[in-house]
Amino acid sequence: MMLSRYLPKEVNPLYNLGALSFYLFWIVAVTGLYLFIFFETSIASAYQSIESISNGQFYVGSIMRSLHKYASAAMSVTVTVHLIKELLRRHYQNARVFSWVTGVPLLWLLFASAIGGYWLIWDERAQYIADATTTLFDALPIVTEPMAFGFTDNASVSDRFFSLLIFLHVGIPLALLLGMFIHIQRISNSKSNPPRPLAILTLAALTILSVVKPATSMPPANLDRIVQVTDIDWFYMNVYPLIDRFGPGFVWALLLGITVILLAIPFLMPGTKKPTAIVDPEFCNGCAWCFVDCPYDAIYMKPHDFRDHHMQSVVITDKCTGCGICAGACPTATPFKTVNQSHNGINLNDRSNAQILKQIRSQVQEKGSQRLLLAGCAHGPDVSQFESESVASVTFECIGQLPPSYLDYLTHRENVDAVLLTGCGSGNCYHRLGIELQEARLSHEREPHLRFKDVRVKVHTLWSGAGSEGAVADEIARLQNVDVQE
Amino acid sequence: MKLPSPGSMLMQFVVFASSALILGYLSDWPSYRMYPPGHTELKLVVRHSGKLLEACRERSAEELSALPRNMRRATVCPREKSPMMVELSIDGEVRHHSTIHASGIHDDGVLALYKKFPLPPGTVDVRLRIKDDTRLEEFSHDFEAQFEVSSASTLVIQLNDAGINAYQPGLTSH
Repeated sequence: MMLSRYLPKEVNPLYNLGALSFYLFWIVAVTGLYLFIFFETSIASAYQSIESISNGQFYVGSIMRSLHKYASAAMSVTVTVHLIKELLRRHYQNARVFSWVTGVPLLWLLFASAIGGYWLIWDERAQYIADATTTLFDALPIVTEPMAFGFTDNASVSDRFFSLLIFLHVGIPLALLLGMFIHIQRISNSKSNPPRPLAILTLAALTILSVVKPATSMPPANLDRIVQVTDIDWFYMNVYPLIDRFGPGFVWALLLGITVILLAIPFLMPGTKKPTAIVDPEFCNGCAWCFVDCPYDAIYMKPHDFRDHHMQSVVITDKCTGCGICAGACPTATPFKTVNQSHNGINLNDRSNAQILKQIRSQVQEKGSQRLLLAGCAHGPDVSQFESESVASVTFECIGQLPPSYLDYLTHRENVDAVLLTGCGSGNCYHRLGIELQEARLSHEREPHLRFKDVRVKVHTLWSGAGSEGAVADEIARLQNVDVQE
Repeated sequence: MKLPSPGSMLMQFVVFASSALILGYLSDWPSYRMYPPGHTELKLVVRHSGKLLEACRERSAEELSALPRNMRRATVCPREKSPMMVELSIDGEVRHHSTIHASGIHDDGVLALYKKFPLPPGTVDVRLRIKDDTRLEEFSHDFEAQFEVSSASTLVIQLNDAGINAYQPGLTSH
């Protein structure tokens, strides 16, 4: 709460973890391309070429190398926190199974990419990686000849190994990029670029770190001697000490166990089946606003069932999360129409928007003067507890489910004096785009927008997130005081 | 462009500076000690073609006539190789004893083993005994030698098709 207050979404890494991971990947890719130009793939030259990059190019080579290292370390953090955040928010259920399951193998690819990079430096840390990694892979029953044969002593390593390693260090990140592309296929308007302020701050922080503490090599690898102590990257090599302590079998069991559990989570905890959107072709005018707004690509357009030269929305039920943003985008939800008032083109199948409006109207009509409508979402603060003589409340699945025409209607026809929209934290919408789309609708940047100009000043927003009932209470008090003073 | 508030700027500085500090520290430190000071190591490297489990034999005339013409090869050699017994002793104490099987579904590949054993620095007596044919009563290879090993050095004992040899990488040639 405090973090989001002082760290708005434009500069808050926690609200942009996926996009930040993409951005860090590109930093690693660009700096890696630079390093690749100067790197020499042979036992005799690998270490020296890295040293030349670090020490022989004024600051440029050193910064590029350090950015390569620190951006990849940062990516391990953003990816891990992204996973934990999505896990805690149960973003693995229903239509999100695809994104969850396709994200799990990316962890392996990310770690393999980083380990390969450290191996290429061919210093004492790389020697330890060679020792521990071969121990790990030689424990697999499918290995016919131990990989460790290739690292018995200096004479047993060949230049070919470095050619293989550089191939893997380029190929695995490319596979990772492909995996990341697949990972975001089932969501629309996916953000693979962080907000510019966050991108600038991140690059600046990494660059300063690269200057203050440049990446350095350890002494060159010498397989004729034993490395007794080494510096290790705890972001990527954290399981390596476990190989020494508990053996490769334990580490395989741990890694595969975690992978299987992560893959199984959506099936072990499928959650309750959410309502899904349903189209009524008779009232769908084919405007495609729901198609454009759906955060999960769960709607497509097709020729209308019975109107020539018209289009019609179709909901892909398996991809629908029941957020209701489509219902909020539907222009047929307007209560100002004179016929078929309770019929909309698209609705959630458990509770139509017309039913919600009816409920709001009956609540509002019971209130006295200074009518305040509090509209919240199922993932934000509990707004029902603030109901009083003058305050009515309604909870949507997502705040994007609220059609702006309702605000026009309630303020003009039902004498609502003020509306407070609340829900998830700013930039942290449970349904990804609900807050963003609603803000755009309110500010006339997106259809459907408000009809009357005076309504905007009566609509207030507080994106404070779950558990922020105190902030909501303060805002209600402020709005009521304003009204009294007016 | 609206400037952030002083509180927001301070928070941005704290978050990004502390993140950079954590990144800088944990990407190298704390150092990790794999082995205690003075640690030395013996590497046992076995890569052997092995012996066939059974000797080749000639087919009888009856057996040959029962076969299709294109399969009438006179000599039959089984593919399966004999398991190999490996026994390593260090300073008179048996540190490793195992029977290894050839790789492959039909046990017809190479016999391979790679093991590491910690050694105390100083003089060390090493003995490696191999029995690569189950039909034999005695070990087929018996190697025994004394070495002087220093801290952080390694000693390699290797069995290949040429036999057993031992060397200290960087110090003695193999």
